[in-house]
This record gives sequence, C-alpha cells and structure tokens, in this order.
Amino acid sequence: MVRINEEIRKEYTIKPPPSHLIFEYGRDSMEEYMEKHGYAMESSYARRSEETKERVEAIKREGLDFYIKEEAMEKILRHCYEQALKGRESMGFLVGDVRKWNDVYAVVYDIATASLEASSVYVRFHREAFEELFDALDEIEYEYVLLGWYHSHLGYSSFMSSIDMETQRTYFTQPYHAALVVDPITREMKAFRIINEECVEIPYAIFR
Amino acid sequence: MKITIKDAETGNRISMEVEADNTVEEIIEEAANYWKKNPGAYVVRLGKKILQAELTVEEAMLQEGDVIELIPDPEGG
Repeated sequence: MVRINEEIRKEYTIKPPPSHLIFEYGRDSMEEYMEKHGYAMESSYARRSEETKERVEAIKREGLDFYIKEEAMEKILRHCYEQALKGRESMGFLVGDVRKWNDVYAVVYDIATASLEASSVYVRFHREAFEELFDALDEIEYEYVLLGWYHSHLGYSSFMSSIDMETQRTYFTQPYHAALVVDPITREMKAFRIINEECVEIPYAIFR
Repeated sequence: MKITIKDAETGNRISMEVEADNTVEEIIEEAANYWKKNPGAYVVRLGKKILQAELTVEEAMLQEGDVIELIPDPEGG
C-alpha cells in the first residue's frame, strides 16, 4: 500500500529582488539587446511552413515579478539562435528559485536543455535525451525549481500557440511560472503565463 | 520503506511509505493526485534513469531514502 506521510513545502527565500537591471521589458528594446549580443537574425532565415500556428491572444499585465540572470539569458538566446540557423525551434527549462520580498517573484539563474526533436514549427525533448537533461539538472548545485520553459518561433513572432498553452496548463500553473517565447528573426522575446484560464503577457527583467 | 517524491515545478516534496510490490505507477498516481497533476504527463526520474511506470519498487530497485522526481515533458509549437 502506498501511503503519504507528509508534504514538505519548499520555503521561499526572503530577499529583495535583483537591483542591477540591465534590461526591462517595456522600457528597453529586445531587438537592440539581441543585435548587441549578436543573436538577431536576418528575415531570410524565416522558416514559414504551410502549417500555421494557432495564436492565442494575450492580455498585458503590469507588475514585474520575473527576473532572468544575464548568463541564463545569454544561453537562451544562443540556443534559439543556433537552432534557428538549422531551421529548428529550440526549447529548455528555466531553472532558478522562488523568492519573497513584498510579493513572491521568480529568479531564473540557469537553463536546462537536451537534444531536441524539432522542426520549424514544433519542438520537444528527444525521447532518448532525458539522461542529458538529468545531467544538466544535476549540475545545478542548489535546490532548484523549474520556473517555466522557453522555446523559439522562427519568424512567426512571439506569442503562445495552442500547443504552448497546453504545455503551460499541464505543467506550469503556479503564479510564478512563465513561458518565454523567443523569435530571433522578428527579434522579440515575450513572457507569458496563464491567469484564470487567460493567456497573460507579463513584464520581465534581465539582471547582472 | 520510506521514499520521497519531488515536484520539480515547485520544489515541494512528499514523504511516502511504499512496499516492494507497489508499482511506480501507483506511487506517481498517489503523488499526482495529491498535487492535482496529470500522472501520465511526467517523466519520472531516479538519479540519471527514467523509471518505467509498470516496474515494482523491487524491480526498480528503489531503496530507503530514494528521491524520485517528476519532470515535465513540454511540447512547443
């Protein structure tokens, strides 16, 4: 017989949010950020197939509570750029910690990814690649939380498709979870979460 | 035997008593029901290996104190 003894809930670290922000969504331009870091692609790389993506309209919400460390951002953009050069979407987990100051907020310190089954319109982890993924998670030396996931679109722009929404709904339902959608061709990156069954675009910041 | 299930999406853990003939599927169902998750949606890992749902505790060679982790299997499009 299987019997649950107790749940041990991870306690939020009490700490003020990062203060050295080098990018704030809404204030700064992601296009310029990508250009500056060498991850902006030419439109000739767009891989629009006959398949269309079903765009889920998002409402915008104010209130910054999602922070990404510069090094993690670099890894995300590099991964999306390199996959886009091959005409494929990219994907990985956003790894970090949940903290509390006045409110709860998320801090992404790392990413974890592995070999992908990817096309220009679809992506998931390769079925044989989970060991790689576990290795990536085992390299993280703190009690991590998967704060969400990132993936790329190749020239379709940054939005949540119906498949993306299903992933978000299945796995990332906590108030601090988010999905980052990067499009290195239209040079956008937006963050989304589901609130009350609605797709909501949220602000994010990159910190050093 | 006591094992722990970790929810990678929150960092929360469940301490659980299991017996040698319990299956991984039964364990995950119990944890997933507690957390209101879809038990079939996850990859279940013990260290570097994936635990197959049909294995028993004995067959999976689970040991006292082991930590099983529920890993999401996202799809993007």
